[in-house]
Amino acid sequence: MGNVLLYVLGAAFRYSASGYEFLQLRPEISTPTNSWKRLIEGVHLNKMGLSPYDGVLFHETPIMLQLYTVMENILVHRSLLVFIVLDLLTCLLVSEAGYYGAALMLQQQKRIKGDVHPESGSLLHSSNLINVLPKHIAIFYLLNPFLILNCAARTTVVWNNFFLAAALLALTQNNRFLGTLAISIAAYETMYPIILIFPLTIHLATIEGQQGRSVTSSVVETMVYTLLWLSCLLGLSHQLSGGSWTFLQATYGFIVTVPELTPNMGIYWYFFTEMFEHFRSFFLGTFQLNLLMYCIPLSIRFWRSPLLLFGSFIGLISVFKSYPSLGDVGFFLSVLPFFPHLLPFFKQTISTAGLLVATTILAPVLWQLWIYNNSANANYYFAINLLYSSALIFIITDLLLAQVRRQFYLQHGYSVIDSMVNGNKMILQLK
Amino acid sequence: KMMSLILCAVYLSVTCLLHVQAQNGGDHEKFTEELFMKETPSGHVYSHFQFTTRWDSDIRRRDNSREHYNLFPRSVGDIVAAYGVQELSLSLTQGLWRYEKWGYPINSAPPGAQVIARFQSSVPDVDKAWEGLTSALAGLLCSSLNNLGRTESIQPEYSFANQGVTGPDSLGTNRTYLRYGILPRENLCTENLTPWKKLLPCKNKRGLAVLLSSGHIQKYSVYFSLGLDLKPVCYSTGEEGGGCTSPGVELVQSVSVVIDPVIINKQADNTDWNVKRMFGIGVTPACPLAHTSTIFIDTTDSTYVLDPPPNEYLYYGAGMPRKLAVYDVKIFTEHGITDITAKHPKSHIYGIVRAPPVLFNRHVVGTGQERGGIVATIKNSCTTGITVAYLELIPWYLRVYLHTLKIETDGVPVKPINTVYRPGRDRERPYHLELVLKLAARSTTTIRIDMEYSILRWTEYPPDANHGLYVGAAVLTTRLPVDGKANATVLAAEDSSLSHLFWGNVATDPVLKIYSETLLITVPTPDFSMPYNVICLACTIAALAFGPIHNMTTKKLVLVSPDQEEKSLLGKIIACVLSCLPTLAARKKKQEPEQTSDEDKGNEESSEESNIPTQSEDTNNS
Repeated sequence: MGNVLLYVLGAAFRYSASGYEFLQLRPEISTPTNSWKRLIEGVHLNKMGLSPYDGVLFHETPIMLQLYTVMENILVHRSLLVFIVLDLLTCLLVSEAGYYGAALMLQQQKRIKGDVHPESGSLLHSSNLINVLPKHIAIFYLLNPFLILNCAARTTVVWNNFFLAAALLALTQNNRFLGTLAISIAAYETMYPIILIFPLTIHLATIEGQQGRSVTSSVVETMVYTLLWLSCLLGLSHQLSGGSWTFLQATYGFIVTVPELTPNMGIYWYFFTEMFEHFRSFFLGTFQLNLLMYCIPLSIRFWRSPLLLFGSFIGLISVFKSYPSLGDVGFFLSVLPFFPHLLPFFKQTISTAGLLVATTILAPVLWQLWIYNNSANANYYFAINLLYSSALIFIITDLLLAQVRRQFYLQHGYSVIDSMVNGNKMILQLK
Repeated sequence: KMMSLILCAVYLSVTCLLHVQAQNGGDHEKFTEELFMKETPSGHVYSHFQFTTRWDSDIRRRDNSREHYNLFPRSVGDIVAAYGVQELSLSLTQGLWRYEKWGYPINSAPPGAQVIARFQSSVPDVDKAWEGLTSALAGLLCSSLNNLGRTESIQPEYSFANQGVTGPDSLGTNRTYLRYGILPRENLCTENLTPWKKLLPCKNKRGLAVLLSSGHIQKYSVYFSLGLDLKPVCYSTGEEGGGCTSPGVELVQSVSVVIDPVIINKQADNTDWNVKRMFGIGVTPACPLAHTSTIFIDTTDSTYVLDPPPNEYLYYGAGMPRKLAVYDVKIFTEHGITDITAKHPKSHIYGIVRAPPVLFNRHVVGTGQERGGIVATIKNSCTTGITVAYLELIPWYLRVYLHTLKIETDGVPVKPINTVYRPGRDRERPYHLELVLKLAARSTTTIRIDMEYSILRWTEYPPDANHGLYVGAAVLTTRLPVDGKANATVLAAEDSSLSHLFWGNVATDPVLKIYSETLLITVPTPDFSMPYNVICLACTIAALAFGPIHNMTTKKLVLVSPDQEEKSLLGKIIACVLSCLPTLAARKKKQEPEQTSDEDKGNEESSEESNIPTQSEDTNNS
């Protein structure tokens, strides 16, 4: 009953927020890659017989374009209903993933229980987690202002979040077929989610390894599935766009080379506005690699906790993608309840939360001052972008460091920290 | 031997002479200079100078490139031959032509620079030829036309039809060889007028061109436009309409000046004018090379008296003919420089001026530097419906949303007959929107389209970026109905000279081009002064993620005793400073033991305190 009420409340919030049409045009919510107005423009051009990929406004995938052109009656004329239903479905998937995720974590805990230091018993999950987690996730998802705004602005991030949620569910259910499919679709749409294949592969290999299967064959199978899905999707797109590959340049090329410098909540736009021309390609490479680079070391370090990997990758994508929006961040924040056991080890909870709230409120204010009142300039808005990004980065690094610390205390207990050597207290340090 | 040499020399000189005579004689090359003046209903004086050079040689043919140029400017001929130009229309304009007050000009031109070029079908790469042509024209006229690259130009589909004769070979009508570009920010000044005058056979030494003194025009004109139009003309057609067998070329150089006599007279109701005060000199003797040299003054609705009286009056047009005063300069200036004065018996009464039948205006809507819209208004006051072609060239940095295009006639949405839309691409090509509309009689049509202003790379902004960026004028092309025809002077296609039009009383196809206003748009600008800061700060944020992730993935969490602690560089510096402090304090204590002992204690205490958190950062959190 409570759950139904929550969903009704979430839908009501989304519906009432959608009355504010300016949300569709906010740079924080709608970016060139996900804006509703651009999608409509693409559909309009497509109906006129012009290729939307000929211009620079449209960056959705050909499947999306055809879907919206063919099913215009439902998807465009009843777009609000579609988006709300899709968002609620996403919530359902994530909270379902919460249930299976909790089960997974409890199972894992059972396995390592023997190694846990007797002092650290209080750090372990309670068996109630399996009941609490889905509820917490639903609350975090449905009442998340970022996601409410995102849904009300009808960005295509709603679609992307749906597939990410499906991928998360598949991961917790050890479902290779669905997992690779969901990740492939998400990656097909916005490219970056391809790195989520790391946690999925690791998780499947671990689970199947325990069942006696060789790790290599598991990894290869996951890879083959992913490649198969991706080539299917790309092949279909190729067919849909009349046998031309121009959409690649307009979608992935656009994401990689960042030609449009419309302001958003990320660090790319102003950086590449102010970039010296001869360094542009170098820094483009550096910034794109920056995101990719984290995958391998993090996968090696945290291979035991694929859920954490999944969450932190989503977080890293939402900060370091070239056109980030509130919807990406909102999804990351709604995944955080998966890790209640790490909360005690967070270092800067209050300051980062405060920073995130403050920057979210200040961003529109400074935008107004810059664009409409002419009393501020681009630096003001960019300063907010930087703080906002750093708040998110703090959350991600805190999350990962918390995991490292929790592992330590689980292994060694509390009292080891109070032991004295030569009359001096010991210090806990990364060395 | 001597004899043969002399004979040879004589023979050579005779052939040369004969050749030159053949060149000059007859109708091979013809130069006409004309001035058309008209007082507009608002009291302004519109003077249109037109210098027409016709030549029966097809200068585009490669084998003719070594031909002698007599009257036709060689510099233009070489450019035209080098880039295979079939037709060329260039205008440089300062100021905006006020259609509602001044009626239609003979040559419509948008503010700034405009180039329309049609290339021959033998040109392999039109874009390359276009860039070469605009660069060459930039050199010819000392203007920045070289900025009109392929990223600024479009290929119109319905506007800018062929001006000259068309035919099967090398005189095509294929639109793929047509290019149109506009530079709204280009200024027209002395440095453009001077090279333009040098293209005339008599330069600025003789004839009507003497009147074009830049200082005077710049000082008094409210509108000043300079044009260069080249088109193929036909000297003889083949049998049974088989096309033109001997095409020639016609170059029209024109200058339009609008001067407000009130400003010259310094009296608000005195609109008397004379040539001398407007142009600094009276009418000087005609250019000896000119076939005819004529001044036409439109006196149809005038209330003034011309002094000296004209050689004759001429009635032009059917229905309500226009009365033109004609001065044949060759006769008129027999006794030297002569002034023409127009005196009004009564002072001018300013009233509502009857606007011409089709009016076209455009403005930008919206606030802020984020997004806006372009609204164009077309007012048709003809008693019949007309068909118009609306051409909009929007630079790539304004992102146009076609689905927001709204066309309404008196509040009722209408569908265009035809729509041409080529979306722009960043740094590659502009947006091209062309609409063919049917306008009802006595109606007002508005066209509205939304756009988004993009933020550019910091090196792409023009100087004084906060001034804004210009969007060039839109063009409206229409064919006037019979009742609106009397308002416009439209040159004949076969011969562009005014004499041909007025004396021949020829019927012309009344196709009219109307240009809208230029738009100024304030786009968002970055802070140009701090690229380094931005690069450093953004990289710092990236490093914020890199540092901790690098640490936690490459290191292990271990317990260490304080003396084994691995300090960061900053930590080392702080520790070093802290370790130095007690010795400093001790030294100070020795010097002033009584007074400062308390303070020192405080210092030491605080230093110890500040030492604690750095050492036990991690322990605190447990």
